[in-house]
Amino acid sequence: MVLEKDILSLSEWLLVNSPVVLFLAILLTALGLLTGFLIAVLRKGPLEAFGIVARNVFEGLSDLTQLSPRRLGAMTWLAVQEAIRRKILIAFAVFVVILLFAGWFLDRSSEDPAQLYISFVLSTSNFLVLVLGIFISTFSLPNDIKNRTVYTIVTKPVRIWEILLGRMLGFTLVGTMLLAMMCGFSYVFVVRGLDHRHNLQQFEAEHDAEDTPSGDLSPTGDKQAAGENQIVTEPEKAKGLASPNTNDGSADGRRTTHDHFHRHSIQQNDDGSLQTDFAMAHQHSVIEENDKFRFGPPIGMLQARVPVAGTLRFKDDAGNDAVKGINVGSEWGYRSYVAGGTLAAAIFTFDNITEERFPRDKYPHGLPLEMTIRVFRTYKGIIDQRIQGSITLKNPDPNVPNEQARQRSTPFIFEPSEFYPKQEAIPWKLKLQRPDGTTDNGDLMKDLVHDGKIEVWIQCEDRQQYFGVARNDVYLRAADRPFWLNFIKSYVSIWCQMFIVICFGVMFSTVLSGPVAMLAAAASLVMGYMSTFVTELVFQQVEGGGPIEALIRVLTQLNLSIDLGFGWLDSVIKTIDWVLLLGMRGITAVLPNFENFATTHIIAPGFDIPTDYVLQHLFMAGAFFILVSVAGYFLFKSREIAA
Amino acid sequence: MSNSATEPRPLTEATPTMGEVIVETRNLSKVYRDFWGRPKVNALKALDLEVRRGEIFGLLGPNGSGKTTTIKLLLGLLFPTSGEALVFGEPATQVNKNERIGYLPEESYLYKFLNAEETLDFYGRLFKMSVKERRERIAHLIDMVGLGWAKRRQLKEYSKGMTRRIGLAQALINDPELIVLDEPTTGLDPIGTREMKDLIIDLREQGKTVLMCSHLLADVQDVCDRIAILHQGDLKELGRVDSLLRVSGITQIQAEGLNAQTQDEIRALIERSGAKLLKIDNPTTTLEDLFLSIVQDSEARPGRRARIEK
Ligand SMILES: Nc1ncnc2c1ncn2[C@@H]1O[C@H](COP(=O)(O)OP(=O)(O)OP(=O)(O)O)[C@@H](O)[C@H]1O
Ligand SMILES: [Mg+2]
Repeated sequence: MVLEKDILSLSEWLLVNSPVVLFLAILLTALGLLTGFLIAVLRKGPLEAFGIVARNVFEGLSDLTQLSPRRLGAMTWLAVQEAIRRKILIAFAVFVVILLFAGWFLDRSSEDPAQLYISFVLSTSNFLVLVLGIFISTFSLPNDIKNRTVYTIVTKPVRIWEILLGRMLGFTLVGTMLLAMMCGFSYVFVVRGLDHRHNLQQFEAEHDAEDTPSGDLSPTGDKQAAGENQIVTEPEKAKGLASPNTNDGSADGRRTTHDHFHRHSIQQNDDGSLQTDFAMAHQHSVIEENDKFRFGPPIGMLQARVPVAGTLRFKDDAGNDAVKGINVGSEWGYRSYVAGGTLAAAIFTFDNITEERFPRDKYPHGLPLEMTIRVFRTYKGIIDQRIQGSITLKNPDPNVPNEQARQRSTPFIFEPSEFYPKQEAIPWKLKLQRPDGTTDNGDLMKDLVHDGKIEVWIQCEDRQQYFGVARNDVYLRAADRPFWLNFIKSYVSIWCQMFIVICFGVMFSTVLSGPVAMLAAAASLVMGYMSTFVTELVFQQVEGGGPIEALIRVLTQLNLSIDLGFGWLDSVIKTIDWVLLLGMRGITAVLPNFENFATTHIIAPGFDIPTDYVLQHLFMAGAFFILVSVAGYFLFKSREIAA
Repeated sequence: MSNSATEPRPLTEATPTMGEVIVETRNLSKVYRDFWGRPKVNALKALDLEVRRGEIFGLLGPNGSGKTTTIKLLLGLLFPTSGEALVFGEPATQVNKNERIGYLPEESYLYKFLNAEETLDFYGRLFKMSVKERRERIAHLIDMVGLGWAKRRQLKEYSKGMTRRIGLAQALINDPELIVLDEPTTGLDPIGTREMKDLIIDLREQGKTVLMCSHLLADVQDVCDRIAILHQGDLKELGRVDSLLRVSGITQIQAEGLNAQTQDEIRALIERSGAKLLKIDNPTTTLEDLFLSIVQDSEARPGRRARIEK
């Protein structure tokens, strides 16, 4: 699971962020008051200025108490009417057309087409709805002022709050409608687009040249020595441990036709029922009826697994504790690597392993361990043989002084799946390795769990090859949520972004003309998406320098690592740039960091978006709503409408 | 609009000059500034006005004299450069006063994508009234401005006069105490103009206060109790229409059932006192004459302020 940042629970998140928000709120209030004061000084002189600011603040508050749902409703209704009659639904038509066209071009032969489909619909909806939000929100108020329709509004007992909030709510309502339509349409698009059936491959065609790259999913290989534990990988899951390995073309060695860029082989379950193996991250149910095979819809393509991550530590080659594994030189330092064929190991400690949480009847195959493991090869190896690894479970009991003496299972051999998670269920009943080298039958819960904790050691078995792991790569699949719900959560996050953009648009439109307000809103959006980048620039974590330096480099096509070469001017430029960058950093601190609203990286690989994560987005949206509407109120109030 | 009052009302009809002050400006000035804050137009200079309950007050003046500016200041659409604009005794920027105000702008600035009914319903919802009351008022107002036949059409299809009418209906949706009309008769046909004037007088009869501005003198003369004449932002003349138009030095005798003998006696009496009888007739001085003379006078001697008549 590629989740670089951990998702905090809502309470933790609030704890971390509320001081920052509070500080920012105080800072912004102070700044706002100061600006107001300075403007008042300029307009009316220092004597009256204080009174003016005080009066405005007071009026702002008292206006808030006079907010009437009836008038707010009327203003909202007006905004909705305006948006609808400006033929906003065209945006939806555009969306549908894009999807229909894109359906032809999406690469359905990819390893996991669901990822592609999901990220495509989400990013398209996101982009369209944000652009739309900017358009509807920024032109409305300036148009009203230009056409002077606003005269007939502000001469009614309407509070400025109602004018602003009515617009924000009205446009959000329209946007919500649109987004809901997009959500429904996208869902159907994804489900229908991925849906497919197979037929039984006729026997004579079985040895077709255009065979699938089947190696991918063939389960446990030949290395299984007697006495070693066997894990239950997903394709075999249904067969259970007892049944022999029958997947390479024996009794049921039938295969499906090659449709949608893949085929499956058919396997028999313990109870005699049939199903296919996993290919392209899914399988099919198979029903045999008077010698005819009927295949069900794909299963397991659209998932929302709930992962429970553990903590991660490492052992180095010599078996000593290490904070990190090896860096194999990839620029992206997210994963640490453990060397194969040595004592190096990645050790995950999972908490809270209890019978209540993982009841055996619900998890008949064992502890639902799932993982994606990156493999870094230093040599090619045998081309059709996959690199193998081992999983060993250890009892983390701290009272056992000698690590060798700890209770442990015999190693499970597995083949890592690199790009999508593969289940390696650890059976409840397993073999234990005694310190004296003998093995014994044991029970996972009884023998290996101490105080709710269990350690999972992952090692690479092949010399000179490396396993790359990160904390979130290995997890327990604690539950599965419905995919549609996950999909909706994703859209709620998009909704939050849209809401924020609309609020910003309306705020800008209180003082700027339509096109300028649109530019400002678009600029904030871009800045919001580049927040992290700007921060990195300021702290010089990325090369390239500030705006002026960057411009010079762009114009002269100068390499990033070469000095500008203007002598002493260099430092002048750098200083100015630094000030500009600080300014930008200041602005981005106030703008929403839209990167924080991303959900695609969670939902596309099939993980459940934590509800707390979505709640965080809603909280952020709420905070920005308050900030922006207060700013909008005072901006609009200070504005002489008829001037 | 009722067609009852087809003949001009006598201007001498009693009007309260001592009623409660509804609109007041004190030393009200407005300087329009450009983007950089530099003064551009001195649109209104130290205006002092009082409009009392129950009167029809007219702001008169040539184009660009500051009438609309005054009205916008009174509605809080503009902020005064100096001085005060008070409505119902509160600063004009107070929103609460709007509950009791109806405003017809210079041009009807309405939402073109709404139809007449939707427009009135929308504006009606901005005021405290029950749904039933709102429905009734909408029906009544649409009927009053004579747009029943077009109430379902979007305003973008309306002609200028029709827009004006719906604008008026919009201004009256809350049954306001103070009605501010910026050039109420522009864009209306003669019948519409007549109806508008009747309506204004009706409103006064209902005890409402009307503040209107216009440069159509006939309109003002027909309906206004008091007027202020503005020129280049200066108040030039303020007072009751009847007394402003009174030609001093000329006495008019009006009587009914005066027989020839008595008439002769009166003539004799006038001759005996050394005066000269001009005619026994209505004087013909009009507001138009007055207006033109003020404008000419003002242009000849700029800066002369009004002699305020109390
Ligand atoms: N928004 C503005 N910015 C700058 N100057 C303005 C503005 N509005 C009005 N003015 C100027 O103020 C002066 C008074 O304008 P105002 O609109 O009050 O005139 P008016 O008496 O209503 O004229 P009209 O009879 O043509 O409606 C004019 O010189 C005008 O050019
Ligand atoms: Mg005007």
